[in-house]
Amino acid sequence: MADAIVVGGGLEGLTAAAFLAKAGRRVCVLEASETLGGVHAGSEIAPGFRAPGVAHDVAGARREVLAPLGLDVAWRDPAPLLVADGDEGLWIHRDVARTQAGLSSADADAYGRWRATIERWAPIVRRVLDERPPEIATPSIAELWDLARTGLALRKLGERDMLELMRVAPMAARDWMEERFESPRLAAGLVAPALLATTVGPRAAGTCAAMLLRESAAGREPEGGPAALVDALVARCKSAGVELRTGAAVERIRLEEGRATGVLLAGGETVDASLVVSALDFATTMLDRIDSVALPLELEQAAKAWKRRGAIAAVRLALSEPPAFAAAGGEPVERACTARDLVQLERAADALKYGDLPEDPWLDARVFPAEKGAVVSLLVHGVPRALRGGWDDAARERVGDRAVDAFERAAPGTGANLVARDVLTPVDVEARFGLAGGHLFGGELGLDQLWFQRPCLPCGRYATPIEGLWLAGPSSHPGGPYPGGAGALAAAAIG
Amino acid sequence: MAETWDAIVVGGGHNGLTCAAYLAKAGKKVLVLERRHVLGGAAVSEEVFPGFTFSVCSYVVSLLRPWIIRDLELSRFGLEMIPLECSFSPLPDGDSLCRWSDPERTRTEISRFSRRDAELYPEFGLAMMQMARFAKPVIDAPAPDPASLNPRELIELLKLGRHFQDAERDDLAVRLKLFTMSAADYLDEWFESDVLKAPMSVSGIIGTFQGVRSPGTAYVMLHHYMGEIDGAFRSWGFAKGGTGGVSNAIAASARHFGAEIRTNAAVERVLCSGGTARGVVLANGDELAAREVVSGCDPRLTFLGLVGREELPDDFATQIERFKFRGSSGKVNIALDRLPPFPGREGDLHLRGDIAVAPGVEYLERAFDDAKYGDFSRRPYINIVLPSIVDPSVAPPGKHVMSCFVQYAPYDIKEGPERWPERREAFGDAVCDTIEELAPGFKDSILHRQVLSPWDLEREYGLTEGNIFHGELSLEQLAFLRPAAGWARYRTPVKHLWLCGSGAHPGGGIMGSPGALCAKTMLNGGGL
Amino acid sequence: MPVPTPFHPRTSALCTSLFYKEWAGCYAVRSFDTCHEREYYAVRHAAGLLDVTPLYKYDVRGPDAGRLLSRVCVRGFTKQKLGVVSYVCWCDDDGHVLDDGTVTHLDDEHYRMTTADPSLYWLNRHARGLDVEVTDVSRTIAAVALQGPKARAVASELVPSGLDELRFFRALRTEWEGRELLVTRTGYTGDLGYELWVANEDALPLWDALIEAGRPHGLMPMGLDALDVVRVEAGFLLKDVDYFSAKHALIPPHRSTPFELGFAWMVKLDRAPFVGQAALKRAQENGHERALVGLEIDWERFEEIYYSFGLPPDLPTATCREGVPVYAHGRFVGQATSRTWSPTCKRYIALATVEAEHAEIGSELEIEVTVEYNRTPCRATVVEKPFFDPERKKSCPGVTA
Repeated sequence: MADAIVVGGGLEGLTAAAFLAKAGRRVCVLEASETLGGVHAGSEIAPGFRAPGVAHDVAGARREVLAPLGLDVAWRDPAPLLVADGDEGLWIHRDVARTQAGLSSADADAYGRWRATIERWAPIVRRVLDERPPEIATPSIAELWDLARTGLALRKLGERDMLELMRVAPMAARDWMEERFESPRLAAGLVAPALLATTVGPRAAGTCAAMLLRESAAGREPEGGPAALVDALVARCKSAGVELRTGAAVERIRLEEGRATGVLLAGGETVDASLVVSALDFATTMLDRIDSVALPLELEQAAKAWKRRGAIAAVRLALSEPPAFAAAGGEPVERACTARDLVQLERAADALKYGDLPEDPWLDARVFPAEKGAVVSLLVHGVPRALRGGWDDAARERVGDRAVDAFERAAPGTGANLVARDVLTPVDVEARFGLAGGHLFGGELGLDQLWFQRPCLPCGRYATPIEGLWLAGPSSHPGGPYPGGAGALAAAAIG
Repeated sequence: MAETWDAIVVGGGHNGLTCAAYLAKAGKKVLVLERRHVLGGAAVSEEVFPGFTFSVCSYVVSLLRPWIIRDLELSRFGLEMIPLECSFSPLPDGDSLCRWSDPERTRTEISRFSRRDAELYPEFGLAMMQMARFAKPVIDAPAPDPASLNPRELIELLKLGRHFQDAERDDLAVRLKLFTMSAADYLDEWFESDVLKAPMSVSGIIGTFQGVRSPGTAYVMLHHYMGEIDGAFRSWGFAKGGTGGVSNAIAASARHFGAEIRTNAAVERVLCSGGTARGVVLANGDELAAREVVSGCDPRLTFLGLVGREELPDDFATQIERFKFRGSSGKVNIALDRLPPFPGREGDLHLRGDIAVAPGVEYLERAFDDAKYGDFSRRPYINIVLPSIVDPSVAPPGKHVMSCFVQYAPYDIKEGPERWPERREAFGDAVCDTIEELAPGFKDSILHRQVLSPWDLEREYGLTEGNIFHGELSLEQLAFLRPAAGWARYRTPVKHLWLCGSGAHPGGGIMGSPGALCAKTMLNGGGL
Repeated sequence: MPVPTPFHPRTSALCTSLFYKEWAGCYAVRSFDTCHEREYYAVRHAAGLLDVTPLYKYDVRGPDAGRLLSRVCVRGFTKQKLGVVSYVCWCDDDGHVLDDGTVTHLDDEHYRMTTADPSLYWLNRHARGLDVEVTDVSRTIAAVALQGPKARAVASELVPSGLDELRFFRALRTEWEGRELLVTRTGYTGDLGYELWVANEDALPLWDALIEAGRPHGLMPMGLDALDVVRVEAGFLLKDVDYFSAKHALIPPHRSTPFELGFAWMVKLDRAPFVGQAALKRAQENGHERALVGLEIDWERFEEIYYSFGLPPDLPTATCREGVPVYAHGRFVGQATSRTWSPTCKRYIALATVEAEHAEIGSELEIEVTVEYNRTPCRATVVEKPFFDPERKKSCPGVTA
């Protein structure tokens, strides 16, 4: 008999389970598929070629929040990012000076100042990222005090910095980059990764907030990529006595008199617990796992309105040789972005509005060593879940082709070394990982779906109006690109 | 220099005139200097073609504050407002939707496209009215200053915060959404019919360089609902004699209270020394002294044009340089031989309000896309009014004036803004072609056409980059950030220089608030 | 611009007063003559014929039709027998009443719902996961109410058999001259009466036939003004007058639970989940702050006030919907929202919402009476509702007890 059930064995679910077990509860994790880790789980795309997670970037993992678990993972500085789509490119390093070396003098100067600004703001942003969102509707004294402390921290930045932060946060990334930098490629390299979890382009309001989050969150990443983090969490769960069940699909979260009482598995087995933590995405939890009559109308409304339009395709390539980037100057490349300017990012996002495929996609690329060569994991932004005309095999191949072509331009010769290719469209993501809308990160990270509004005001602090039901998945703060946060903060809120 | 004025107002736009009227009413000696031959700025009526009076730029009065109308006794001085009766949306297939002030009639119309939307429409209106209640205190008071550590200011901020929060949680959630979502996405939560959502969402992007799917555009839709609870009731309407009628009424009031107003009196610069304004220098060389100088021009024109960067603190100058204008609209004013023949409706009742060419959300997004990449929209959004139907004084008998507000026409076209004159007629053609597709035979009825690109708006009406609101109304350029952080209460870094136009809080539209609030600030411990 | 109902050609020809109002977007006669009195007396002494087509009507069909209605309304319908009509209300998730209407179990997997406000969206919204189809038949079905002591006699001319056995709040599906006719023993008058439902194209023949059959019995077409008086006598609430739909409520006092409206008898809490169940359970436990009551205004006192100004009493012969405050010992405790003089009972009656502690039968309160611009309190007592409840209302000659 478990005290707590965690529905969904993805990274957040495992994190929540580990923390709950650490606090003394008997936890049972129920995962529908045969693998734990969800979109962060490693998988073999061809014999000898293992891709360590569809969501291949875990530099945003909440290392400090996860620290109490003592995970068996080595954390290292992320490799530099090569921004190139052909012969020309530039490197963005952790080290400011090394990045500046590759920029024009005006940009080098501007970049130094920009990074310094980010560094000054980062503590505030990280505080937001790593703390439970505030209660703003009816705050208690303690909660008001917490809010005041954040306000004070903001004020301590100094009037100028504070106002500048308040000015920049709702801005469009394009405008901010235009104020600061000359190089289109630099701007693209800085903006592109922040767009991945959104359905908008750099001209959209709020993309600066996405950038700020990303820049402040980015820290050391687990060596071995997402899969290593998953493995460490699984090990931690096991050692804490968490029961991990795979192949155990939850069909229904059982409610009685407005209270969670357990779950019903496909196949008829019921598992009882007075604490049910859902690590599934918000829409799936509310609309597909709870009887519609038992669901309070405001939650039904919020779940229907939850924006989760998948916007990314994942293309994994198994190569017999590591790719050779034309602009890398012979250096090995682990991270690359083929964006060349903000207009390209904008056009790719346009495709999302009209249900088309981007003509000229940009790629977020990671290169992992494989037993038999290398695996290149590509995330292609601008691939809509609601494709005009619908998704079929031909459409999937088109996406794969365009991605490979774009990659070939940056790393010529890739085609010749291609052993296998695996394309996951948003429909595939939805089917394989049970993520409503095929959104890789559990729901869009626009201004209106962040912080205490993630996923909605009544559920923005992990508790729900349904007693005993909590949310700890990627649809909660801080969200999919910042794994470990929701699971940990939810567990802490549960107490 | 014969005399020292208490205040000189640079620019006879509606805000400058309002400021002058309030100052004069308080007994101050005020002089208004207007460059053009006619008053009003962008709220101006001109007989562009003989017999036809156009509201050349702004064409409907939106939220002219009722307390200003009362304080300045504007109805005594000739202000006559005729409410817009309906909102007509013609569609490419000859069908159309018309929303009326009569809710039952509107319900019948909407139910032709979606019964469910027809049921929810009045509920949406009610929800928006509730939201608009919150907006009112914001636009009728100076912006709060969160950077201030002054306890009195903090209390104001807290009160505002409490007011914002002071509702059941549902309301609060809606308010937050409205400020962060796009107009189209927010409407998607309520309605299913594209035909309904498109004209509703478009009110969220007027005068901005945003699309209906751009985040942060939903709250602007509230403006439409403010009119209902405002005390002016049905405040969206035509001014008799065109929007210039509003400016003329304010000017008459100002004169009545003792202000002097001069036209054809261009100001070349503000007389400044040691960071202090002392008066102005006219284009003809005359120098006029004043204790206070108030600018009704936009921030860039004011600070970088009339004052000069060297008189400004560096920080402030940078902020002003960064203050985004990016005009996105043009105006096409047409003299017509007869009413445009939109099919499917008899009579002209449906033409007595505004006509929105916005047949679908995708149409509007594509119009925006054209502008993003440096061109005017091939098939633009057009907001048309035909004021001559309800106000025959603006056109010869049987003929009509058609005012078309068009988005998008970006100031920064890819050829460069100075090449707009070459593209002007093509832009006008795109507009007329679009209307022709919806009302075949329209082009034959055109007697005269005037096309104003953002370039023309800048040259002729002093609107930097053709932005009709004296600067974008995006989230980062509002309230305490408008026009610059720390300088959002009408004062400027130059002592005795004030900003009273739409570049100050609460921003654009024919509201009069910036002008009135600036005057009040000046009178309450501002040195006057 | 209102839309005419299918009966419009007949009613407009007779409406010499041109006193119309708008009901759900349709033209509705307020009174045919410039005064509604004759129509009122016709209903109470003979029979009245009222066009009720503007009601919103929905057909709910499918295996889960009963479940949908059970989910939406405050009581269940899966066990409602065929041919039964129920007066019911429904609430939002917070247990506040949205609207009231009727649900009739017409046939297997087929129910008919009538509502005052358009409700298609609300019904469809709760149909998620159910095998049911909701069709809006508001403007394809015409309906007329035949009410009064002679109603059965008149209706029997068209429907020779079945009416004597048709019990209160039951439905009879029958035929008339080859046309489908649904007769329900329902009405808004608190008297003997029926509502007859036909397809639009059968409306005029039905009207003509009823008028013809009613001639020897004194049947008169009636309008909404007369209805307003009889419904107060019957103790019936009117939405947007005596209570507000939670949908349009701006502030908490505008929202009402069914308990506050005297609808407790409709509410069945212990059953499968339905909209507002949890909130209603809490409301039932916590008790309610307000209650809807019947008031009788003290006639002697009322007269006295007028005489003190030298005036005869000004009788409200039509129902007055202007709310007036209600006081208890000088303290404001509520409002009377529908007031009228009942010609049948010879009493000045009102429907009022008052604080629960003053809602007991016999409570002595005061309503505000304004004479010559002076406001004076006038004694009023809480009395039983309905004010008029004739035995004929539920009579059923064809059924022995």
